[in-house]
Amino acid sequence: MRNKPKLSSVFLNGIITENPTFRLVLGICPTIAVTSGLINAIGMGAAATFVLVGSNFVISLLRNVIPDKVRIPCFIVVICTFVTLVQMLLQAFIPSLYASLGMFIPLIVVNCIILARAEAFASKNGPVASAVDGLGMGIGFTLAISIIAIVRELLGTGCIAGIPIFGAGYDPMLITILAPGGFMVFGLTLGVANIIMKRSENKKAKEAK
Amino acid sequence: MLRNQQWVLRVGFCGFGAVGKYERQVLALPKYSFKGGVHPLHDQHEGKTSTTKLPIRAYVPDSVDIPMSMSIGAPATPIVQVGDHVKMGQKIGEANGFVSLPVHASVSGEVTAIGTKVLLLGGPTTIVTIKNDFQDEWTELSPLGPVEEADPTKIVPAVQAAGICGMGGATFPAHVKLTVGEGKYCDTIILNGAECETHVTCDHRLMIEEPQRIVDGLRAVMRALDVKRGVIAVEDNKPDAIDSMKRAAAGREGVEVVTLRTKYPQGSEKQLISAVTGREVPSKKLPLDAHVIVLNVGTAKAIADAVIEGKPLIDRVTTVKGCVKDHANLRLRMGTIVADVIGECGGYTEEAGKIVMGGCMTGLCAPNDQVVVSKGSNGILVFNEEDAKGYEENPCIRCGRCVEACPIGLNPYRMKHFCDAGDLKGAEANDLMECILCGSCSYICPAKRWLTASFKSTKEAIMREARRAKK
Amino acid sequence: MSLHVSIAPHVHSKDSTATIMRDVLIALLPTTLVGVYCFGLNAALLCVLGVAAAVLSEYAYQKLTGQKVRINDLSAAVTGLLLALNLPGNAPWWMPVVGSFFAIVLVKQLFGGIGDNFMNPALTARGVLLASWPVKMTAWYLPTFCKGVDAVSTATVLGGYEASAMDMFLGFIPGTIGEVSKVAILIGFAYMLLRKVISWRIPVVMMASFALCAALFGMEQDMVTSLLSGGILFGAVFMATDYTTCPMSPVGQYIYAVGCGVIIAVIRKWGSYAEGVTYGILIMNIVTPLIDKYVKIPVYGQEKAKKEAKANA
Repeated sequence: MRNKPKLSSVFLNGIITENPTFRLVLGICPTIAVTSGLINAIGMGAAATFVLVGSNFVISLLRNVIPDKVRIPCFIVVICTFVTLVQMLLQAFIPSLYASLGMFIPLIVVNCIILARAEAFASKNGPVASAVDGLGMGIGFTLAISIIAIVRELLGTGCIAGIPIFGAGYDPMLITILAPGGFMVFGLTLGVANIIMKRSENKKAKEAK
Repeated sequence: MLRNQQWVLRVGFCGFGAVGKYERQVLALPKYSFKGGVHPLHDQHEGKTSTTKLPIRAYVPDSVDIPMSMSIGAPATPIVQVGDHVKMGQKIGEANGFVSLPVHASVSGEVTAIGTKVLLLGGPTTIVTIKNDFQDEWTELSPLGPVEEADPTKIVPAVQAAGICGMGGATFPAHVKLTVGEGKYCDTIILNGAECETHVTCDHRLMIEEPQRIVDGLRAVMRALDVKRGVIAVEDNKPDAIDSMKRAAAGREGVEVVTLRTKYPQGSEKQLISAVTGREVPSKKLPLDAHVIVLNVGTAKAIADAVIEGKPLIDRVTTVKGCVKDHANLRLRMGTIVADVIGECGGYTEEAGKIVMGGCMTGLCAPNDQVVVSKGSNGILVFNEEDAKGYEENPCIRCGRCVEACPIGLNPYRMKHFCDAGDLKGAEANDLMECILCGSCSYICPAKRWLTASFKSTKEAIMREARRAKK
Repeated sequence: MSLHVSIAPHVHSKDSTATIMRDVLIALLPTTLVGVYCFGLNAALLCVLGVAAAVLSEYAYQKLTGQKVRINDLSAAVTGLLLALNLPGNAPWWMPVVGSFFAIVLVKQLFGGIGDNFMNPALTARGVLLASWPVKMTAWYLPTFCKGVDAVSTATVLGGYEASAMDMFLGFIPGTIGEVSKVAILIGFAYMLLRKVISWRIPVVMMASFALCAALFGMEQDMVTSLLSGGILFGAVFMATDYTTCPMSPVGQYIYAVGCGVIIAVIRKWGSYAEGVTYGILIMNIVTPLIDKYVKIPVYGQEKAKKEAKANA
């Protein structure tokens, strides 16, 4: 068992230092798939955050009960439960988002981020810390895919969240909302994010000296 | 499995193969050649024009610095003392072992010093300084007589005693080449008169001025090893030399002259063997494994001198070019200091930026003009500051010219990648050790990448590593 | 006396990256001029903007990343011009700018600069433009003087426009700026062959394999039209021969060229695009490292050494 980590650092960890998309590069399938629009990205991020918080909390509660050998199936069962919840809630209250996210809602079950946090954090830490970790990770994920979505939607349609920004004169660059554009924009934002983080790390290292 | 794939590829592309064959047979058959290669200074007759017509003249300096190591193998041990009077051709250094050559005095006179000197990027070498008395008094010689009558068994020992090594530049002791090991045989001797190196014309002039001696040398070797076929191979940019050799070879048993296409590195042993006999030397083996021995025409001349007159190898022809007043083909004594040679040629015309011993493609750089002429020095090229300047390496553009130019069929661009990364294993896996360091890839590279230089250093590193592993 | 010391060779061929790229630019000149003649000043503007944007992007990127600025090797200019020649004559001015930026920064520099890009920059940029603005990239117009009036919208020959073989050969057909005039492309090809910039292998084998496939598949067009229409000749001469993205060994080049020809024929016959040159060449670009890895040039003496080892064993 590690020492009890500080909650604030656990929370920030997921947003910046171990951002699931930009630093851990986990859950790339939904990242590419749902970032063609900001609304979709936020919806996906919110759904994933909800599942992360819930599953981290429950798994952390059960961490001393779950036998080590069958932990993965147990995690999956917990995660499945929350995903099913999300799916039903979305279907009931935001059917349009449910329709546009489609297959990617049930696929949250196998999202690497959620399983990875269950394995790496929730199974070793207390329930409160785990829930905070899930929240941090979820927000980090949401922020990351939102940034990608803004770039893609803006270039690909001239809008953000459906609201026209560039006006009618803009000729949208269709490729950015297609799959190849998704990879390109993801790669570029990943690169830029890494440059920024490396710079700030270097700065910190210099200050520490 | 891999074999099968290659086979399928070969069958699939036999159509294109036929095109290549047509090209070879119809366009190139009259002249012998090889795959790959480059044409350095093609627009300037390989840079040779200024000396092709100049007869060889002799130059004897006031004093010589004779190195104890003028060939590949162990250096000789000096057997004279300071103050000794030596005659021309007298042995002054004793060979150490089989792959080593004795050293002879190249002038008559007094030994004034025995010291060391740094020559051609190597470590310091022992040198014997002899002050010339200009008497040109020969020591007692023991000739074997005319080559057709000499005792065949005595020829190779005579060559060894005369201190003869390959005079094309590689300086491998000739008697070692001429010793056919057990289970091996030789059926062809090739005399290398290709002189594919740029600028150098010493072999060219030798073939015009002393063709008889060259053929005599070839016959001597053929008789010594009981070989029936002797080929003198000359590039087609030297028609006068071909004529002269053909006349000298007429009526001599088993001797023929063939014309090679002018292409660098036509005079490289492996490429020459392929061009003349159509055989390949197996990888990591010697020409003898293709039943061929290759000797330079200069070596053949030295062998003839040793057999007919009993003279040891004390001089050689060297081409002097570049920023010197008079370009020349000089007959120089071993140990002549380069500064003296340049003085003889009228001195520098501009400030020298680089002095290359040999030709442009393979020559070694001299650290200063105090280096000496030795058995492998076929040329002295003086560059001016402008031409000597280093150049910057640019990124590879993968144009594939190095692949086309490589006479061995290597991928220089890929080998360079591993060499730069310091990955010796990777470089070896890409056949770096097959590289003959001919310089064709570096010559042709439009990005001016330092290919040959890094291959050379990496090859040396691999060999060092192998020696360490053995220990 | 201080002398330079270096390792042989001490002489180098006069060709450099810049002279090679300059030769390519010269080879592109005829087809550029015909394109400008056919499509008017807008075509000239596109070419100038394409080159300028490419060179500026390269300069800016190399400055920003603290690398040595290599715009003098002219490779960026070649990329920019190639891209512009791949646009329809009436494309908007910003298209070559976006395309050149994309080609230089995303395709070339981000993968390591000259010699390290895995796809042809100009062609990749064209692919991106085609996917982004499909309508503008396929809005074909007849050369301005053909019908006596400006800008007659029409289909290309592959899309059903009827043209005589001579018109297609000379370039009086709708198409991109660079691809229309076959005679100008052939002049450029001859120049590059003469200057030994490229070998005959890729263009000739690519055209031959395409013709063979066209005959086998039974195209809608007859053979002459198939070969003279669309960008196949331009692609074969200027695009497929890009040094960085084609194989090094002669056999590898044959495989690559045959692959290009076959894929183009397949796309033209069965694909949803009327033209497949871009994708045919790009696909083979990606296969190139694999070809280079598996097609080995026989190394002198190794075959024989193996044989002897076998005989002894």
